[in-house]
Amino acid sequence: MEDAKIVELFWARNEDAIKETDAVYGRRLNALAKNILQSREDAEESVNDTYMETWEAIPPQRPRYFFAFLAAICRHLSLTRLDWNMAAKRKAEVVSLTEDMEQCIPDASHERTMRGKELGRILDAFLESLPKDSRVIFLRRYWYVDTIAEIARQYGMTESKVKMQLSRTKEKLRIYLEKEEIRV
Amino acid sequence: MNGKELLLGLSYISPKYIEEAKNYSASQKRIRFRKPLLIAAVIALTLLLVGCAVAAYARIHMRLVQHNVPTTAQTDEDVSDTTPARSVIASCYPQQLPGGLPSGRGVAPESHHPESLLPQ
Repeated sequence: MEDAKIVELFWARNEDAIKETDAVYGRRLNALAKNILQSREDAEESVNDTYMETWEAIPPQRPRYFFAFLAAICRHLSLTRLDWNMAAKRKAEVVSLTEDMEQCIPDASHERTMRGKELGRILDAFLESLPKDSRVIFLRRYWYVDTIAEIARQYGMTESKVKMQLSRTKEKLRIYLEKEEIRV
Repeated sequence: MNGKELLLGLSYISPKYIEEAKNYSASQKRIRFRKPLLIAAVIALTLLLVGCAVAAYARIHMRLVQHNVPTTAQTDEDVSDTTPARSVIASCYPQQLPGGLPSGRGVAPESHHPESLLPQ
C-alpha cells in the first residue's frame, strides 16, 4: 500500500493502518532497531512502541516522508531503550559509533548543551554540504547503524575504502562543528 | 555535548536525507560502475579467443602449404592422376640421383640379375 493511503488510514483512526504499516515497513524497522539493540525481543518491542507513537502522532501530523517519520521514532526509541552500560560491556556496534562521534566534537562544544532540534539544524546544513555518496554512507553508518562490512557489500566497495570515506566525513564534521561554535 | 548526544541529535535531521539513504540503491551504483567494466572484459575475451583461433589456423595452414598437402577435403576423383600429390618423404628424399650414378630402381646389378644365374 502507498504511504499516502496508510497515512489516510491513520487519519481515519482505522486500526488497519498499523497492520499495513507493519506489512510495508515492519522488516526495515525491525532491522534498524535490532542494529541498535542487538536483541530480537527488544527490537520487536521497540517497533511496537513506534507504531503506538505513530498512532498518537498522526493526526495531527501528516508526514511527507512516512518511512523517515517512522524510522526516526524507531531509532530514537531504540537509543532511549538501550542499556548503555550493558552495551558497553558487550562492545555493541552503537557504542563504537558513540566513540566515533565523540571525536567529531570540538573541545569548546563539550561544555555546551544543545537541544535536539538545534543540533538537527546544524547537522542538516552539514549533510547538505557533503557529496551524495559520502552523505549516504555516513547516514548508513551513523543513522541506520549498518556495519562497515554491510555498507561495503551493499555499495560494492572495499571495507578500507568505506572506512577511509567515513574518516574523511568525520573530519569534515569536526571542522564544521568547530566553525559553527563561533556562529551559534 | 558528547558523542552520545551527537548520535541522538542525528535523529532530528531532515527526513529527506533519511529517505535518500534508504532509497539510494547500492545495486544501481554497482551496475553504473561495473557494467562497462563487464562489457569491456567480455569484448577483450572475445577478441583474445578470435585472435588465438586465427593464429592457430594460420599456423596449421602454413604447415600444410609448406608440405603441399591439400588443405581442403578432396575425393579421389578430384585429384588428378597427372599431378600426383608429392608426399612429405618424396620431397625430403628425391628419387632422382645425381648425374652419372645409375638409378637403382628396376635395374639390378648384372651379377645379381636372376638371368645371369641361368646356364648360358
